[in-house]
Amino acid sequence: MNRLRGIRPSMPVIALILIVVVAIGAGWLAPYDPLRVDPLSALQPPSAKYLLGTDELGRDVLSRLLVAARTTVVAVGIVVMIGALFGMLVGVIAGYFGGIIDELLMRLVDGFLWIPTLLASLTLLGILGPGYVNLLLAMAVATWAPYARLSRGEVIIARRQGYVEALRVMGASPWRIIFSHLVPAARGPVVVYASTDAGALTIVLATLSFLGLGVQPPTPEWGQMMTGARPYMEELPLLGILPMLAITALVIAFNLVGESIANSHLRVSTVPSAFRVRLLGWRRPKELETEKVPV
Amino acid sequence: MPLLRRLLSSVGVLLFASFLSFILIKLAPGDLAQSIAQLRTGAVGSPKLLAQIRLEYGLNDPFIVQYGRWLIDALQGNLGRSIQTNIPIAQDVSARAGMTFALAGGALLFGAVTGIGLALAGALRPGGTLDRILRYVGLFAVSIPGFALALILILLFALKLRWLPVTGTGTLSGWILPWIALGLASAGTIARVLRSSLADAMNQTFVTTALSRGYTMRQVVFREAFPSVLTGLFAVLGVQFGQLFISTVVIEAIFGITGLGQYFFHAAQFRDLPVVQSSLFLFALVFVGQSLIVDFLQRLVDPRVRRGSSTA
Repeated sequence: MNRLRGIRPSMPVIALILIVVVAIGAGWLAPYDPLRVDPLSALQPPSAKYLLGTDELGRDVLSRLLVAARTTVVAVGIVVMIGALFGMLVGVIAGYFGGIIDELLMRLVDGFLWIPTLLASLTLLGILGPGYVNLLLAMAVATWAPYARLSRGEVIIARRQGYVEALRVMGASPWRIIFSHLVPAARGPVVVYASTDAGALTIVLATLSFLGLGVQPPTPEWGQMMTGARPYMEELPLLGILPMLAITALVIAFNLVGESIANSHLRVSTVPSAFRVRLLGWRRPKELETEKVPV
Repeated sequence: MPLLRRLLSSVGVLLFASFLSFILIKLAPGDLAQSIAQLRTGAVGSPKLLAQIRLEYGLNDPFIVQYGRWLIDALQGNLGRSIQTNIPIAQDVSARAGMTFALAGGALLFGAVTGIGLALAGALRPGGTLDRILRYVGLFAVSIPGFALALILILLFALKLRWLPVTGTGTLSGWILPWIALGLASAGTIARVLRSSLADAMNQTFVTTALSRGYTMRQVVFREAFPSVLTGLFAVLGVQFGQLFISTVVIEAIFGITGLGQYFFHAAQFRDLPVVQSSLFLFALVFVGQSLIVDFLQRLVDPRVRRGSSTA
């Protein structure tokens, strides 16, 4: 866990860990079955029996919120993982081999970079048709390009340093250099970007589900819960406000964690010290330095 | 000369985007002729009907011929027909574009005015109470999804307080909620980016010089720091417009605005592939147009960009 040394246990980090733990344990924490329909107790305000009330079908809102957290964290986790790994692979290959391969791959990356995530995932869902696997696939395809751009840049910096040349002279195969040395070298910035990207993807997932193209019922998801709550917003505002707060809290946590990793002195143990210096200089907490305006 | 190169590269981007969108549609699983037949007749098409559709849409031709034909048609303003309604796409698009531009434009205006205002207010007293509060407001604004904000705004201002209508774009008051719901995220982004670039600018020597010569903070921020970050600001505004343009999908759905967002969304929902493809191409057009305008504005305000110097 050496590479995480730079992350201080700040508020957002604790909050994010808490949300993830709750999401994973949602099955045990939920007081009721989130799918159990009970028309007789529909649209109830919070009570001792149902801590956050019930929805239009009489399902327990607290249980649904908790299980929806799992839906979101798992989906976003998978998408970021696929997007980041694929993007890194493309970026590292482009950066390492250079020349025509670099040119072709980066034009492809440019093509995907200009498409906003929501547009790309909607388009792909429109082409592939709805479904959970298609949803994850569409979001991953929509999100990989920046990772490629980022890791290509890091690899080009790393390649200028002696150790890649040294490895090559020692007879290491390109794939060995790529997987054991260059991919780890690109890891730092990718982790930082992944955190803010996770926030953006949480919003995209909720938006797609709200529109009915994302996570399908009966699986609880926050955006989809808001679709269900919409006709009853006036009588029971809590029904819509709670999922909104949940989404916003998770996105804020992702954004703040991204900021705090970027600002902390990220250490990447497996890269040479010269590169580590570069990484330390990489996106210093500028606000802290520049705020000392002589007035 | 640089302008010519810029235009040429825009054309290149457009060609690339159109090609990419064409490939994506061709990669779609399932038989296009079959899905057209199903949308038309509601049943699995007979071999005769499928053959007829293939002929009609030119699906038997080689890929590159199909692309070339599509491109030539598109250049003449013919984007094909919707599978669902059989109405020419160009006709639908021109009927709906106004709504979407009004929505995205108004939202950008709201986002720019709010965002720039917040950033400048924060920069006048760096680290002050206002600056710190604005930081959190900005973070909240970029973290709340547009549809959630829209629903809360409707609940608060339309249903509870009854100040504004829930839907309807006939009057100006009907636009206020959609503009805010769509534009707040942009306001947050613009405020955050501008605030941090202003902080960078305030650290530069020309600012220190101005301050040491006795200019007030207000004069320095408005006359020195702000103009120096204008090029960056234009770039952010351009990107934001692109974002807003696609985010209209969800805002139009909530407020019942019949614009391009709804059109694209229904196409994606029902796998109306020609419309999906045209939407992607139209977005590329918006993107290229946006970046040309940004480029022009940057040249206008910044001599460094005009001269093409590398320090710009």
